[in-house]
Amino acid sequence: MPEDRMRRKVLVGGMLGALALLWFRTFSLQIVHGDYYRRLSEENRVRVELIEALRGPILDRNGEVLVENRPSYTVAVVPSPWLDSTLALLSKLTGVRAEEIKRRALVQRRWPCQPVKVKRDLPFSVLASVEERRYELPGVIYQIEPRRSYPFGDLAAHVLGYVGEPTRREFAGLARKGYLYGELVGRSGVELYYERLLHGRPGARYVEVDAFGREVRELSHRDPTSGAKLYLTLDVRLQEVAEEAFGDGRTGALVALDPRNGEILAMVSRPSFSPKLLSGVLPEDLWERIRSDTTYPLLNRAVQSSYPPGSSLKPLTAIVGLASGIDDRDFVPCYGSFRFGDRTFRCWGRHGRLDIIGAIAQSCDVYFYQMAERMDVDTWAEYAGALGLGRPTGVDLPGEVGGLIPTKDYYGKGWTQGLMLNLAIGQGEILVTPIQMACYVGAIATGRLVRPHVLLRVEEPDGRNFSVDPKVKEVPIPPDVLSVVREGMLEVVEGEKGTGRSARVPGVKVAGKTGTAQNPRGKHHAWFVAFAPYEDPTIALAVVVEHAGCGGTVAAPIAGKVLSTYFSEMMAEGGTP
Amino acid sequence: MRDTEWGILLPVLSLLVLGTLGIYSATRGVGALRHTFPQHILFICLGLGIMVSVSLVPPKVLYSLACPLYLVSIISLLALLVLGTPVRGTVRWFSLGSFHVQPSEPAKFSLILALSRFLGDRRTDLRKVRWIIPPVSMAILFSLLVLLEPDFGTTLSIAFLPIPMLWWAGILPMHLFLLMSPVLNSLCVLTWILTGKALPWGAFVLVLTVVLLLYRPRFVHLILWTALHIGIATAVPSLWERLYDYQRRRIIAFLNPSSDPMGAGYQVLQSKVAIGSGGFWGKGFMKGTQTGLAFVPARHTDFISAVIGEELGLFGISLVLALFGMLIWRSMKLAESVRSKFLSFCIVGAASLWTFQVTVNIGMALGVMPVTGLPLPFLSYGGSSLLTHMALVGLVLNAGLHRYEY
Repeated sequence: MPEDRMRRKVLVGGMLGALALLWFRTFSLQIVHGDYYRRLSEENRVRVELIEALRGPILDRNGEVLVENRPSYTVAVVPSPWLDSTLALLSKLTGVRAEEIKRRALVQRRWPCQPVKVKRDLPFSVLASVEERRYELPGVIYQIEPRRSYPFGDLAAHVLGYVGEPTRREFAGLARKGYLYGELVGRSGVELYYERLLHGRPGARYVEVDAFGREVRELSHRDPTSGAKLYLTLDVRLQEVAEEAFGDGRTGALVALDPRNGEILAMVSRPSFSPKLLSGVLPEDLWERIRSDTTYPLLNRAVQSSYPPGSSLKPLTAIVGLASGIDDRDFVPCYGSFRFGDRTFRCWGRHGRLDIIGAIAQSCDVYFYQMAERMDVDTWAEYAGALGLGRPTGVDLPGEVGGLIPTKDYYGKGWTQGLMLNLAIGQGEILVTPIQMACYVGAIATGRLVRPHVLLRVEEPDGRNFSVDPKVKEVPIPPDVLSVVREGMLEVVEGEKGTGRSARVPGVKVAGKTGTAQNPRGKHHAWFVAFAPYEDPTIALAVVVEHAGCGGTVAAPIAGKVLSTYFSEMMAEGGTP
Repeated sequence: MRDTEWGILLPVLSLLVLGTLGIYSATRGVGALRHTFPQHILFICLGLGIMVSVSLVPPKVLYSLACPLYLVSIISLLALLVLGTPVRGTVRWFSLGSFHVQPSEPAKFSLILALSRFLGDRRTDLRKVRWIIPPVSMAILFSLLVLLEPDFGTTLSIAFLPIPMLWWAGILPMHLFLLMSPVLNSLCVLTWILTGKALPWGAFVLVLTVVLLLYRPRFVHLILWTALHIGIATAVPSLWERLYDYQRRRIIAFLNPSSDPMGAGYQVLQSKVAIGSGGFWGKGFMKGTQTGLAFVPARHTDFISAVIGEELGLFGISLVLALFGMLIWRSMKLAESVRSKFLSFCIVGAASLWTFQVTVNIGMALGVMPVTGLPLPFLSYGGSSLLTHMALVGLVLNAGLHRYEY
């Protein structure tokens, strides 16, 4: 029967055809894609156990340790065809949800044998209960990992920053730079800005393992390279006093720096946070609370917030006035207000006839209104820029904002000279950061604008050492103009009628300027900027206290406390710090 | 001895040797598996005995044993569901001391005998639909009992058996298509559920319509078929919901093995890596890293081909496939020449089962078939399976010895 023979051929052909297809598939796997699978098989058999590099410690300028490492226990589980019961038990003991562990395993599947970190910094009680049930938890291991510790507690939290696990999306980028999953990275402050220096290079153990993650033997070993040791420009004692002087209830910032080289000696931002808490195992609700806090404790107000400077800007206006040759001999005396066009501009007092030194010392608005009347806004903005205002200072901290110094272009058709009157006393559309103000007052003090920095010196683990070179720029202002303004600022603190008398330090001549910045959202911001000693300045500082009232009564005393500590310390050491 | 089919016996013996080597390599140095290799040798000896015995039994006796054996198998499968020892949520084995008997394996043997007896009958005329229904029902009854254990792989292999046998018996292609259409329908619906692609199902409906139009069944039949398919299309999604989680995961993992490398896709991925890394000559006997270091689960049973693929490379797999090809080809040649229709169907049944199991088993190790847990005949460790397949070889050899008898 031909039909029957046909049927037989089809059946036998189908059977042998199926085997032939299998052969082609095998050929494809073994020969065509052989290299790929050989590589996979190598990776499978060899577990790269990463040895995290010790993160570099952070010290202050005198070698006091600000951040160091301490050992902690991390519980991890080796990815394998794990049992749901293991995950369930592990989840019960550690409080980490099983889905979360699975999710982590999926993220790191490029390293199929790398243990999945379940929970860091395990309390000893949990560690003990995991150990007790060892046999119900196959594949569960511990790792001893370094964690950040802070000998000075929350001191300088905003400068130091904190560390944390990168998010899944961040990790995609970090992986390309050789980061391992589960490694901590800097999240803010110096920890973030100098992440590359602090991180070090992880070591690795290449271990031959079986599918259960059991070690068969070590194939090779590479030691980790620790992160570099960072010496900051901060001075712990000054920082402590500054934070203490600022107090906890206030909101604002303080920056103290050396106007000769830009080394930041103290930096405070309030409200603050606890880097220890944030760098640790952060419970979700706490993190949520910090994130949704409307006072933004994570914000480093010294570099990330900008404010109108108020009268603390008057030295700038004075400089512009003097440099443009504005003659104050025909200025009218201060009777408490000044009419410009059909508008009345008020002064905060009645100062009578003043020269420029008296006007700075008593912060007379009427005097500066009259200067502003004769002033070109673009010239004024140019000088502001030369003194470092309204643009990022280039400080080595993340997220610095620029602020705003308006020009005629900024207002466009809305420009009238009346706006200049407001700008001249630091009101209106002008925004500066506390660190800019510190640089600005430092530039007035020395005639040179510095790039502020918090990093002083780096000690690499191989013994190499390098210091940060100061960046200093001459300010294009005639020296005689600056000396007049300085004299005015000296009168602010040392004069009988000065507004900043509460910043006085016995034995040292302090120059400064108070500011009380009006703002639409409540009480005035209190400002005080200062430098000292008057003759040969070694410290410049800026303080702003949000919604606190008058600069002379709120901000100046804080500056005074910092300055007196600074100078008593200097005296004790018998020379310049 | 003159009529002994060496073309069948030699491949079987070679496959047994290859399987023995693979099992030795896969279980070496693993404490929990130290009894596996000696037991496998014992099973081979038993299997050779069974093979010789079956080949020497007069065909008439086998013919008359078909019905009783079928009944015994049904009873054993039912008894298993009632009395069996659950292992990891499934009831597949009877425990007899330290040995576990898997009744679904010998059930394949008795089903082949029963189907052969029915299809070999002179009165059977597959051109009439009423003669198609009994053999199909016989197979479906078995596969349902196995599905309840549940053992998905064996269910599939049993359900598949009647198809080539019916084809051999001369079923009309149209009938065969209609017979398989419920399964095809379910698969297409499943594809739709899992991947959201409706195209396969649309194509199926189109072909079914064309076939039904060409075939011109009676109006009542047309209504019945339509109703059946609508029923399937609506029932499959709800059945999917009721599937065991591991079964669902396996199906999903089959469709996309990399979706969950630590879970259900793990086995397939690891076995692919094992085979793929073997290259042409393999890593050498006992030198497999994947299988030797236990990356491939069930490596001495269901994934024995991964061991061979890794350690002996393309050469080893080619050898295995060539031996199976030889076995199947020689068996089918014999099936053509055997005068007894009963014995001819027995051979077709055995060859079909081997083809199906080899394709599914090696296919799953290669990542082209779902992980169903079917052993590789003659190579995988497992007494029930090995003895059953040796009995089937005995059946084929028996046909060779009695090829001139009616």
